[in-house]
Amino acid sequence: MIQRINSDLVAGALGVVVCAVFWFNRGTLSPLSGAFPDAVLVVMLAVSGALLVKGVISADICPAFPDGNAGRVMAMIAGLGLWWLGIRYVGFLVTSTTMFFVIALSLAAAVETLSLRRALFFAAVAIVIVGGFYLVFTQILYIRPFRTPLP
Amino acid sequence: MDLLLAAIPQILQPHMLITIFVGVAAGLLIGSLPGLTATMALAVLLPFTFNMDALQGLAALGAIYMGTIYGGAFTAILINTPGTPSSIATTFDGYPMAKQGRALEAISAATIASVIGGLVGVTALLVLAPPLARLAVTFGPAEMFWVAVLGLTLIASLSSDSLLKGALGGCIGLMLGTIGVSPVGGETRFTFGIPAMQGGVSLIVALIGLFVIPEILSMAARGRAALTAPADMSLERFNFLPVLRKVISKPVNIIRSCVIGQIVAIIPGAGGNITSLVAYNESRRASKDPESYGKGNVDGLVASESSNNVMVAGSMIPLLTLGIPGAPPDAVILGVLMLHGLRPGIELFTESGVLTNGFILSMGLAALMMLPVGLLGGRLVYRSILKTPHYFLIPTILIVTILGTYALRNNVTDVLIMLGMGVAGYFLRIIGIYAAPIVLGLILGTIAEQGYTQTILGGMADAVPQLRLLDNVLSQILFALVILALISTLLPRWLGRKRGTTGPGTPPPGNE
Repeated sequence: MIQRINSDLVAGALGVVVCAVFWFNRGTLSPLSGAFPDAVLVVMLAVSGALLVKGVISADICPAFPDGNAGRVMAMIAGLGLWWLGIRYVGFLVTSTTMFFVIALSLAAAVETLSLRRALFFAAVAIVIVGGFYLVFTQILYIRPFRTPLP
Repeated sequence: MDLLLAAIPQILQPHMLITIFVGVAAGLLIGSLPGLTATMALAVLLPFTFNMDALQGLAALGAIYMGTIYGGAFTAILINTPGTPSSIATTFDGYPMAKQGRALEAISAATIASVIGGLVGVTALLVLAPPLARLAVTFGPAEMFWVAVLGLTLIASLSSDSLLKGALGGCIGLMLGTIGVSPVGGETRFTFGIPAMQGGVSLIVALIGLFVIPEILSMAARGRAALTAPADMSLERFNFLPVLRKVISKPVNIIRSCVIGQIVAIIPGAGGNITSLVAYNESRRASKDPESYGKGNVDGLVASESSNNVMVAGSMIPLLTLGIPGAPPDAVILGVLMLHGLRPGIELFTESGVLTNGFILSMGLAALMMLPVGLLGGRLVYRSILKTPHYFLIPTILIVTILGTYALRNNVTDVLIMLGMGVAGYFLRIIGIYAAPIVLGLILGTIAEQGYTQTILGGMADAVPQLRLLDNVLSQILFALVILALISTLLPRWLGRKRGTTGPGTPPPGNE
């Protein structure tokens, strides 16, 4: 069953939450630094309020996951999170090669039957592509890699 | 004129032509990588020009600059990812065209528009530099505020399915732009206790996150790439001439976009991203068929690409005449001028006139070379993307975006912000809040705030300091343009709703 949401209500609620987050982190700003964000927050609150009213009166209902497979989206988001943690605490080259391999393999598994030979090919592609970009960025463009235990 | 004629044989020497060709190709390659901006391309490739003489070095950098701005259109069209911020508006119609199997037509149109824009910019630089430079210095904080507000009216155009959600997206962008150090007061705001947030949310980080990651997540959910190859690749064969005819059959669109590009380019700090957005908006507003914008209308693509390429040479006007960089990459060019002992000003057009005219003409040559380099390079990139299986394409795009984001400031927190904004952008897109208004708010917020606060500061002794915003004729003209822009966008929609002709649920420009 396709889950549906009231997008006006969700957008309005989100606007109120964002306003609250910024307002409670405002602290004591001088008029010079506070005038513009305050004005934007007021407008944002008004727009959010209007969206909440519209959500009750004539709601715009849309599917929660219009692209199809929600599980794959969640898995990809988790993968992105792990990727960042790996880059931060393990090493760019090692993490990115691993993540490239895992993502490529999982996406391919949805459309074809994978063998060990095919998996090895995927691993080789991951090493070549990630290694190639890493070398271009560090050796040609002189981007200094982030300090981590592994490369 | 003598100086101009004396410069021609110098730039037509074989080593100069090769330098310009290589510069355009290198710029195109870097520009097509998300995250790598024209400023970064120039800064990175600057050391290669140290061994060159002044003219060759400047010609190389001018060619790289032009190639980078143009190269940003490739990924904007093919994978909905602006290679540089100047290509944001190119995604609005370029990507829908690619999805309709018209990618090569879009690339060709972008190439033609870029070449025309580049040539117009160079001509303007040659002919109009001194009077336009005088106009540029009349733009004070109040005028900049109204230019930013004029750009913000684009949100109304970008939100054809829900103005409220577009406005909310714009407000989110404006608030994201306030994170970090206040541009006038100098206080640190909204850092949420995270020291790394003091630098604010970088535009490029937001751009990559909001445009790339939602598309990646969408591709992953669908289990296929965004672009699908035509069943028969030969179907993609098409003639260049019909596209050329189509583009030049609407001269008003090109002329208007070039004029907008030229005017915005000479305003210091405005930059190509604003240029293309304003030109796109005006093109849509003036069109007889505005509803087709955002669904693959080639006129929108032409407006964006011609205006942002006018900006390349156009932004040199304040640089060469007043020493004020019109856009961030111009600061690198200024550095090279200084390196060779050249000082901006009238001497540059008299004592060093041959060199200066040679540099300007070399940018014209670079614009012309974009045609062969772009058409060949464009086909190559297109075919590479089409032939790469989605399970390799998706992680490859992720690698480039992560590296590109990190490379901006050598900061892993930027990568986290990019990924976080991307995931948020995906869910916001589901509820109808698209990336374009958010990015627009982020770009224009800082300019608007700076202009507003500086104007108010200047009027502190007045009874109503806000009246300073409309203190002079130029501000009043810009204010009138803002009102006109809002009326011309909202009135037809309101009338359409009254007649019941507005179709619901269609994604607005840039939001597909």
